[in-house]
Amino acid sequence: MKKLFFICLSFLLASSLSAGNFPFGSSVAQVVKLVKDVSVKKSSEAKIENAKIGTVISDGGQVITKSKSLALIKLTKDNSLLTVRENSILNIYERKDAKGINTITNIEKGTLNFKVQKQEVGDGFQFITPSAVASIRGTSGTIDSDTSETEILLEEGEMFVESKNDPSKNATLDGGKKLTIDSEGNIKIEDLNEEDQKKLNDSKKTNTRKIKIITPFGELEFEYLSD
Amino acid sequence: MKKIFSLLIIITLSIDTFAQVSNYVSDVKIGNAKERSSIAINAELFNVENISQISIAYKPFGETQFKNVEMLIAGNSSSGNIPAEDVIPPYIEYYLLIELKDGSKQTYPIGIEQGVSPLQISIAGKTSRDKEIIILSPEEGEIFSENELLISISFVRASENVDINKTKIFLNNFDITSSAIFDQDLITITSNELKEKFSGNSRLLEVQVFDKDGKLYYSTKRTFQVVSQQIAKSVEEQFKYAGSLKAEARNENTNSNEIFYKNIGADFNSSYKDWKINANAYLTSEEKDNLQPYNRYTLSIQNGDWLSLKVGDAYPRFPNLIVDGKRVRGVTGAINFGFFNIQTTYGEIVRSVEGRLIEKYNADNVPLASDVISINQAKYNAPFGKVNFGIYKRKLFAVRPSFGSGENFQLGFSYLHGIDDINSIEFGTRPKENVVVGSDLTLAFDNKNILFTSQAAFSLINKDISTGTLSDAQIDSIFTSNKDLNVDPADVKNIRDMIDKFITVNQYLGPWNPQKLSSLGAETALNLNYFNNSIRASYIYRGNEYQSFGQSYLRTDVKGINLVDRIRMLDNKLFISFGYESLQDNLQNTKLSTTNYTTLSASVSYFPRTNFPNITIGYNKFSNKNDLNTKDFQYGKYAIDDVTNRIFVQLSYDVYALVKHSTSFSFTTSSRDDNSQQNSDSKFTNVSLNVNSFWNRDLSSVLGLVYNTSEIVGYPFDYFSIYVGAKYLMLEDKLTLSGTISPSFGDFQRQSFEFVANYLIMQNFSVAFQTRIYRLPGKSTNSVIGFSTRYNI
Amino acid sequence: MKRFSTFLFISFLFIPFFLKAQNSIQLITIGDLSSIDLGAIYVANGLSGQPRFFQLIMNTQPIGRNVYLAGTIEWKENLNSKYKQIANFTTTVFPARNIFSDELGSSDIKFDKIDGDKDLVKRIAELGKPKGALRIKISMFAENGEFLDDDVQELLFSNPSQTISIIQPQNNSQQDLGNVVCSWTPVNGAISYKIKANFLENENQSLEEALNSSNPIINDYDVGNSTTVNLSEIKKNREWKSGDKIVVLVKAIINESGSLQELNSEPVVFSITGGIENIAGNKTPNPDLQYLAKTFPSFFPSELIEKINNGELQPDQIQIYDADGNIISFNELKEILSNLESDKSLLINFNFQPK
Repeated sequence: MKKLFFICLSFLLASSLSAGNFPFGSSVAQVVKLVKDVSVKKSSEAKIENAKIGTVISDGGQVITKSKSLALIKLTKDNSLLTVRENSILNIYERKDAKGINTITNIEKGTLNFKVQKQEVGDGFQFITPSAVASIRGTSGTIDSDTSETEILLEEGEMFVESKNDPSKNATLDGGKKLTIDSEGNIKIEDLNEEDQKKLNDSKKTNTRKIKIITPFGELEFEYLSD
Repeated sequence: MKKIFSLLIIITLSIDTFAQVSNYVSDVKIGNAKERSSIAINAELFNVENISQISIAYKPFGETQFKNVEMLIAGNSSSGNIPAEDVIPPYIEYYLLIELKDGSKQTYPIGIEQGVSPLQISIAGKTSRDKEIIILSPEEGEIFSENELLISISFVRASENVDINKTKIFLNNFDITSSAIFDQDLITITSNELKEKFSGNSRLLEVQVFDKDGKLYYSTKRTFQVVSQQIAKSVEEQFKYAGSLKAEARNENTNSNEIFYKNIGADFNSSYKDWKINANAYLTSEEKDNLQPYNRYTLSIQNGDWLSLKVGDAYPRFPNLIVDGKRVRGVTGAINFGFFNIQTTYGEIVRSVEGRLIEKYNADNVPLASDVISINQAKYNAPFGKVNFGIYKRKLFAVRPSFGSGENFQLGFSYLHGIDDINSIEFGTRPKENVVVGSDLTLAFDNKNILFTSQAAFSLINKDISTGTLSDAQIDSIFTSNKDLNVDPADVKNIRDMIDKFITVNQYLGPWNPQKLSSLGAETALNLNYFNNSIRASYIYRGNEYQSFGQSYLRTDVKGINLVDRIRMLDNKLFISFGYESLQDNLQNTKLSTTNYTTLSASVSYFPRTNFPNITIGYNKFSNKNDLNTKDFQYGKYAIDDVTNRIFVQLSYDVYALVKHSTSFSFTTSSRDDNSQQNSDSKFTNVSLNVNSFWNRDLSSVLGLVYNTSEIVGYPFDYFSIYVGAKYLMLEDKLTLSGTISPSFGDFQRQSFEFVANYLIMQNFSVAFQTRIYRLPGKSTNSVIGFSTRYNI
Repeated sequence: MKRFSTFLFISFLFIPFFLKAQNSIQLITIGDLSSIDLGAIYVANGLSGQPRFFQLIMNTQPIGRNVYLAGTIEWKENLNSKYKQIANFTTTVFPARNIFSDELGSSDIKFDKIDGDKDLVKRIAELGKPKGALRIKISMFAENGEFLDDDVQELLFSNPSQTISIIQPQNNSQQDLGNVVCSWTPVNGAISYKIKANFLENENQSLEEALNSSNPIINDYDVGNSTTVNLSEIKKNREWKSGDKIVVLVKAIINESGSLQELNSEPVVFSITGGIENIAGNKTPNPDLQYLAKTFPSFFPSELIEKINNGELQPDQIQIYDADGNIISFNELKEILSNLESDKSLLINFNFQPK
């Protein structure tokens, strides 16, 4: 099983170096909710346009969120949920073959909260960031990535993470733990502390709430993400 | 027997309940009941306002105890989920437990405690087809707002035998398949596509999938809710009310003048859907016939933003040149459609107060004085009398139609008419009448970061309408006898008839020189808010004869500019402001000289948000000067030449020594140099230190020191004050006790003692007691002792 | 002889006085007249309701002798210019008695002839009211045209208008209750100034309503001609205390056309510092609001931050609602903002609309 898994992983790794060359497929994901400024590329060849609820994303599609925005994406293969937080860019690829469906999400930058269903036999799910490649079977957590470092908070499940630039540097992350990996492949694993837990909880917030404050000097209205 | 029993279970596939007689639950919908998947239960409710809480009591197969899970009430429905781990075949028993606000409980079905059987949900095992057909949205029990609805079904994993195009979708048993978008392996319906309207909040989604032969391949159900984005319908459709009653009794003894004040106030606010009805009343023992009203009564009705009506005392706001801050006892209303709006007010703004005859005179001994007038000789046996003048009853009517909502544009036109009732009192002088017409414009751009406002108004005033409009005979007499005026009396009569419809026409109607803009009032202002800079530039013009009965405190006979700039810097830690105003009077050149009024202001405030005090430093300069020479023998007394300079510094800082001590220090010095013959020089300096200490959650204290030295017109006045006080919370914060002692020494001698107690007897009922004693040695001992209560409905 | 000559000389000196004492007219104008309506001095028959701003005291021998009056009205527009006659008139014959200005043209005493300088009358009409000075001369003649006596009075018009403005205390300033210096811009022609002050019960109360409700602290107290007073020294009807918000107004009293009028300043609000209200949490900066302002500087606009830091904004002045119209308590707001503090990315939008 593990051999098969690593084979898939290697294949996907090689493929990830030339991201965007996957054959065009049917629907891979759908936008089920969005807040404020979200744009999509429905496929690798498509133009960037404003996202709407129900927008379908195919292989090679992209989701871009601006400041104070977020998008909820569901994978059509198994109802896995991805929450793309503000100021993030996410590319989605899917490869179908006789064995199953492999999904790859490439987080160019930003934060992604994920709740991935347990993958069927033959299926795969992978996250790629500028510094790491992470494979999962059925997990939930948050990935925060920029050009120099990737931080993964894993709520439950199991995740295999390896350095994008040096695959020999890798680790398995269990639920309830945090992993950071830099561009040189240095990995650190710690338990989730209170702050991490809060960050995890906050990243799952997708509902919005408006509050109005009326003072003798004027009115203040603000909107925020809540449970 | 076993077979029959099993058959009964199998047959029990219905997931809709049969109707039970209940005062609170009209319908229950059960979501997909599959093994190890949570089951959503939605209940449609009656009489929601009486319900405090609803929960699902359920018992998985094989267990003896019922478990509870609370339902969420939204609008007229409630929803809850039976957790997935408890959903195991063959069935789950359940009932709803309804707790009412009066403390009683009811079940659905009714009579569970009396032995009525609970309801059952059959649990189906998971099949492989559950993995083929995936409902991406909605989740079981999910709540959507109206414009965020998404129904999405994925066939990515579906067998090749499935004919996607034959799929049927039902919502609340209504076929909505025609609204669906079929996109390869995905079927989607959003709120944009869904044309049908559904009542209530809960929805039952049913999906039927068919194979290529047209046979039912798979079906599934899911429940969810749709609520309104705006004020929840449950809030709208409920009649809600709230109110308060306040009563106060207070004895004040000031300079040996003792007055016992009693007042009572009541507020009642209610709402039903978009309608809001409010009533409030304030009654006081100070209400006297010989004073303006102190009692207040208002009944107001409102519907959203578009309708507002008030009967009783209201404070309508029109452009400030027309009406501002005036109490109108009558009817005030507004209708706002956005593109067109109208607001109006009509009522009494001044109550009549009769004057008083003080002394009577005959024709041969009557003096010349402002307060000596002709009186009714038959009634008072004298032709003249010295009086205290009364106040005429004054009525006001104003209306303002406008175009545009005001968000980005609004153009309004105003008309005001005010008149004194000459028959309302006997001893009065110079009853007046006033007409004002005006226009106002608002333009806003870029989220009101650019705001332009402008208004102009023109007034007519008749300063004495006691003799009424000029008669034909009077016009003939005036304009015939004075041929130099070269005016045809007939023309005057025509003009009189025209104007008389609006205002009384006689020799006191003015202005006589409208073409000189003497009764014009105008203001223009531009506000800009960019780059952390708030800039305001304005120009005002108010002629010397401009007057509006709706605005008593407007400064007139001035024109000039006003500039203010407020800058935020360093992430809102540093604020700098500048202000400059230059005005002049004598616009119509009627005064002995023109006076220039110049004001200069500057301040810097720094709030470092670190371990450093907050600092504010400010400077003001006011100068007033006209062209007359103070040394002129004849007219020097009319010379104006004074300058006031004022500097202030304020510091505040939190010191931590055992506990937190909020300290503030202020220094203010001001000097007025009056070079006129009045010589009203004054100067004062005030230094104060204040320390608030927070000893613990319940106890805080204050210590203050004030030193003041002043000299007004050569008269020195220096004193030093100390004040010490404390506040203590007791009885679980229900009782608050506060007290201070403050002696003053020097030229201002006063010793004060204050004690206030507030007690929250119940959540909505509180009482307060105050006693304040002020001893002024050698003068008087003043006191305020009072008791008040407040009750909230 | 010498004594007789001296007696004759002295007698001659007194003859005019003796004659004058027999027939005399005295023109008395109302004191402190600073302004007059044009309508009040309009010379015409048939006008009613004219103000009473001068009186003629007539003594004749015999008493009640038939006389008529001749008058001239002269005007100088500026203080340094010369008088010019704008009107002259004669009346009909009437029995001599004391009369007031409003009786001319409306009682048995009618204007017989009226002449005026059209250009000057037009000039005054353009100004809207007489400015500068008027000189009124009234001469009394016997029925047969014999000159009896005359008198002259000058009226200076400062024409005050509602320009009065309070310099101190500054609006929304804080003052110690022992020394509240109030100064204002002077008004030429004001007879005196009056002060009115009352409590401002709440932020929503209009200033006019506050001044006119209940028993005012200072109720039209006359301070004479001074334009600076210490309000603490004025005898009050009610005691003010620390924490109170006070509205103060200054009125200039003028005499316009023979009746007293009030010119109001714009009202000014100030607070009394020190004492119990400081610790009642009402007037010192509220620590919770300050904490929120410090934590979210970009969340709170500068206008609100200033109001928070000087104690003007307190929690009980704030109403908080959610989109459903539910009231949110201040503690809940603190909780919400505390959560947002740890993850500011949760804050999507905010907007402040000043009043």
